Amino acid sequence: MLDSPGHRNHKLPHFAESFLLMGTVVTIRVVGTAKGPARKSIGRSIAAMTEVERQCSRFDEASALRHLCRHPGELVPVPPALFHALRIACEMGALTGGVFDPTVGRPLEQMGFNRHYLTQEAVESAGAGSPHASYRDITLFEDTLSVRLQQPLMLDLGGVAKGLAVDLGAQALQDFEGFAIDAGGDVYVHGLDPSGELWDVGIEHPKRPDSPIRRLRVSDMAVCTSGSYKRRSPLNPGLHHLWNPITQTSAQGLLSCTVAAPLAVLADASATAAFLSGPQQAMDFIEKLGLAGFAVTEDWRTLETASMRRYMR
Amino acid sequence: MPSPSGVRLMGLCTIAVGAIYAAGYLYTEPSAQANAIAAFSPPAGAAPHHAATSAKSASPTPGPTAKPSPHPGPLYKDGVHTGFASNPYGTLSVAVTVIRGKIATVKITSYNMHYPQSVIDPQLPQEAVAKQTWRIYIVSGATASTYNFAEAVYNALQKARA
Repeated sequence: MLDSPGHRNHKLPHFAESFLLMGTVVTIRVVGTAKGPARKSIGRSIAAMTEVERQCSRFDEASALRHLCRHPGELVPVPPALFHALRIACEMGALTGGVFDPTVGRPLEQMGFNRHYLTQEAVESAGAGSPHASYRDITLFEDTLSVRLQQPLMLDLGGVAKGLAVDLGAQALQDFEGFAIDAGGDVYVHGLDPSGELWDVGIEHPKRPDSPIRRLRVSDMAVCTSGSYKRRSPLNPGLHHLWNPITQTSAQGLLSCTVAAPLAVLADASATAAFLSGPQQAMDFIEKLGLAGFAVTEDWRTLETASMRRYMR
Repeated sequence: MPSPSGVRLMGLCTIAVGAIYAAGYLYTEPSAQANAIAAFSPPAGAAPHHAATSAKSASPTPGPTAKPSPHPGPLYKDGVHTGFASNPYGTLSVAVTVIRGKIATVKITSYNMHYPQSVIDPQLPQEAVAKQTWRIYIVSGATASTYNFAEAVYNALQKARA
């Protein structure tokens, strides 16, 4: 979440627009430009994010991800965003010993995370998915941008696709003095904010969405937060969308975990993986990746890496 | 300092963004009338190298097989279309009236938010009419209501798609 700019002294011209995308409200704020060029670039940025979503969505029957899942055992050429999202997800799977796993689509469906956020249409993938599937069943062929799923499974690129979309949306805005993309939990900021300073990025309080629990001053940085408080299972309120396939339940111990990293996909995937790793290991995990982390535990303790402190105000 | 696995992961992420960006076709210029609604659907008159993952495509293999599908007629059906949205701050309903294919009025029909309705009404309905879209600029200090409003209008307009 980005700090609302209402109370700060604005020296630079700036312009913001909001959109519904990826199940959330995406706000793009551009600094140091007239409205005309800003709108055009924001349009290109949104087009890029939309395309990543179109390729990687579990909820859209026409997505390349769903097409791939309908053809297990076959060598399927896929568009580049899906290929690279899967490669990052599989790498994260290996790094966490399978705690992070992009093949958790089936358990998520069974928990009731099966409706498209705009149409509310249910995902129909009946029968798709072996209960023993894991990221190891995804074979990637880089030369041909092809993928083979070794057994029937349902992919879910939560923790990767949104971050990747934000990074590609950011590419369309590089010419501006400053910009911020706020995609509900995934933030990327560049250059200066409208007051000519570093951007003020709040980390949402798990219980009070209107007052951040920490505020960071950053630039050219992604800040992504994974939280269990965001999406609870409509069928079982004790469960949430961050599923640990090793323990066969949703991850316990943390309310939210935040990572600051140079790329949103890196921050998003690392925050999700650290959340799944639990309070004992989350900060070590983030530190080993060379990134900065912050987390709130279920018993309301806060954890942080030493590297995160220098961003805090 | 990052561990070797951290360096490798960072490398994979950097390559991913670079390679997808280099593929180029993601950045379709929005056409004159394009707004975010067009961005949700298979692109209208998109650039020729848009990936062929469009709806109803039986085999969405990647490649330059874009099918331009311009909107010939009006975007919206005439009539009154209702939309609803909710978020942690409350709920909100709107009625969007479409006359001769254009958004004529947007009315907030029910409002149950923590913010007073005066924060967003009548500014946001007027803006939706002026701009013929649910794309709404943020109202400082009432972003959650604004989002809700945008979502409710979007839901109404989905029903109104011609």
